[in-house]
Amino acid sequence: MIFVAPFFLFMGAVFLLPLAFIFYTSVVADAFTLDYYIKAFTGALYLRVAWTTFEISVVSALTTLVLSYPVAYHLSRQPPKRRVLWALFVLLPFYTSILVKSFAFTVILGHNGIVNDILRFMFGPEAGIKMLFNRTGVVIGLTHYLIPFMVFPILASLLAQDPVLHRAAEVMGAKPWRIFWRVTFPLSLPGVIAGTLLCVILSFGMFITPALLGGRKDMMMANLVDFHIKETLNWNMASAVAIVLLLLSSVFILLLAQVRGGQLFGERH
Amino acid sequence: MVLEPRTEGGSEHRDRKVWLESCAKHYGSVVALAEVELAVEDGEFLTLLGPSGSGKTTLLNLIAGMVQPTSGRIWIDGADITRVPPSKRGIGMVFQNYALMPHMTVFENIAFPLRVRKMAEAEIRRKVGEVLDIVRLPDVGKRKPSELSGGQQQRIAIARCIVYNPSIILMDEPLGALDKKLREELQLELKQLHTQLGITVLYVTHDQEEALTMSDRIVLLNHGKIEQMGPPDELYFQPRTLFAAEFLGDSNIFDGTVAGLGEFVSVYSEPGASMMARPAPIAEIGKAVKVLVRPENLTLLRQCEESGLANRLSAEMVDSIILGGVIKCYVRLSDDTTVVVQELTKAERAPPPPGSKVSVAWSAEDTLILPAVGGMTEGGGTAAA
Repeated sequence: MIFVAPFFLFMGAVFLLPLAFIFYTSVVADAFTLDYYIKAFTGALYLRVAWTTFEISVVSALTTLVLSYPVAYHLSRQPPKRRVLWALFVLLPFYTSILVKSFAFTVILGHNGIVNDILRFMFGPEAGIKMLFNRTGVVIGLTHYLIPFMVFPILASLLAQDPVLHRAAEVMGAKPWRIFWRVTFPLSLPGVIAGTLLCVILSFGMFITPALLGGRKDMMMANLVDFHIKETLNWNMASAVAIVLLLLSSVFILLLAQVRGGQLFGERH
Repeated sequence: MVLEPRTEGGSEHRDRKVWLESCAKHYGSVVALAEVELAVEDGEFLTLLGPSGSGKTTLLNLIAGMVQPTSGRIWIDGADITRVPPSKRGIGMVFQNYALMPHMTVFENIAFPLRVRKMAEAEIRRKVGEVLDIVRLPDVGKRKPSELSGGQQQRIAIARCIVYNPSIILMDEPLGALDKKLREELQLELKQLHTQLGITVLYVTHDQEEALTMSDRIVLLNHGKIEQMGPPDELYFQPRTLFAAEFLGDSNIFDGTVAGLGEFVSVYSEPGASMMARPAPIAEIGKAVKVLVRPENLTLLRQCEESGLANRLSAEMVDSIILGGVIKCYVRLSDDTTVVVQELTKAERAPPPPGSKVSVAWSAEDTLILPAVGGMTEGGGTAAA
């Protein structure tokens, strides 16, 4: 116990204490008040931003899932040495600051960015797509950021599968397609669900990506907090929104813990 | 699904259930299976027996289609299936760790091979019910495999196998993960199932008792070669090699030199005695041989007791262990070799105390001559390098 004391002291000083302060600010202006929460739960702006946040998070998580599953599946079929190498490539976006990546995306996805240049070169001058300062930009940016967080939980659940199950299915006459949909995929669902929840949770708190790649309609809750702190100087409102965001994430974190504990699927052999 | 029978070659084996035509499997320079010739009869319970690394699992995987032979061909029901993928071979397989799908109910597990075969739902329900009755677990359809005991899970795995009438069932140490009592119970059940359904079973085990109990025929493998094959009693009573003798059952083995031929072969042996043994084709005068006698064929004699048995050696009592119905006595011969005698336990005939002078005796009929070098034998079909 004594050896973990420094950790608790540190966390208490830099996390719990500020958190308590934020909570305090959210309910005390001149005197105790719930006005800010009432506003956060009823105000049109707040509801819209909450919905946007939810929508962007879910869409990004699902896009990430669709892109990541084949990657994880491919990795799981590799011999261990090559798998480590490929996994390093998956981790590459991980090693780059999200700020740098977001700026890089403005160059790549912009009106005169490389993607639009190629599109116009191939399909004529009208073929350019607006991918910056709108929802598409945010989802692209987030997806790029989230892929490693999706690949690894899925990879873990694929690698945990007993290869004998696939052999058994094969001997019983099942073709690869059926083996995938009836055995491999269902058995990887805990990884899929864990990865998706994790990505939703991570997206909830996103700040830089929507700020740099999104338009005015793509404001997320973290941007709203920023807005109140820097523009309106309403720290009480900022605190209330931050606490609501924390609660929303907590719900998903609890769900995630359920999946991790294997409670969604019953015990595995 | 159409398996075109090839016409060329091996017509005498075409009516066999399975025929391995000079199959070999190499992994680089490692020989997992040397050239093997093996025919499995329809309805037979054939056991592949051998220590780990002897090639028995490789042989099974060749038939299942999990590995490709380096050379040779595999025939099932008269069709060359060497290049046919596992899913189209129409065989069944039971694995050591059951290989039940953890996310499916017992019903869905057993229904799986039927769904693959696009059977109607009503038919599936009827068949699954039928096999659940056969394995005597009629009420577990709705449960998950993890809710069943190991023995029950293996019964379900067997049910999942017999439900689609595969032409042959391969079993890879199916009882290896179960405790002794349950294993013996399931051995009997499997044997009954085999007789009742008339299925062809190819069974892999390293447990010699299991092989002796269940098999119609045993194929004993060693270092990727077939050491000997035949019915259990033949392997037990007429082992052709030292390896076969030592792998199946307990044995006492003496070094010796053939001294005379006749109705019985006389062998001069190290402990300073002449022994009479059953005639054998390998016996030539002056040839170094091994002499085998099973512990249960030995009789322990008090010093002056007479027995009328052909072979007799004097010895000193070392120790004795009662194993319930039988008693094992360890005696030391004059040249310090230890011999095991196994007798039935009798209350009135307690073993002599350690250190006392005794004799061991046995008949010439129970004495076998084996080649002095393991794995080399005439007519064994697997001449060693």
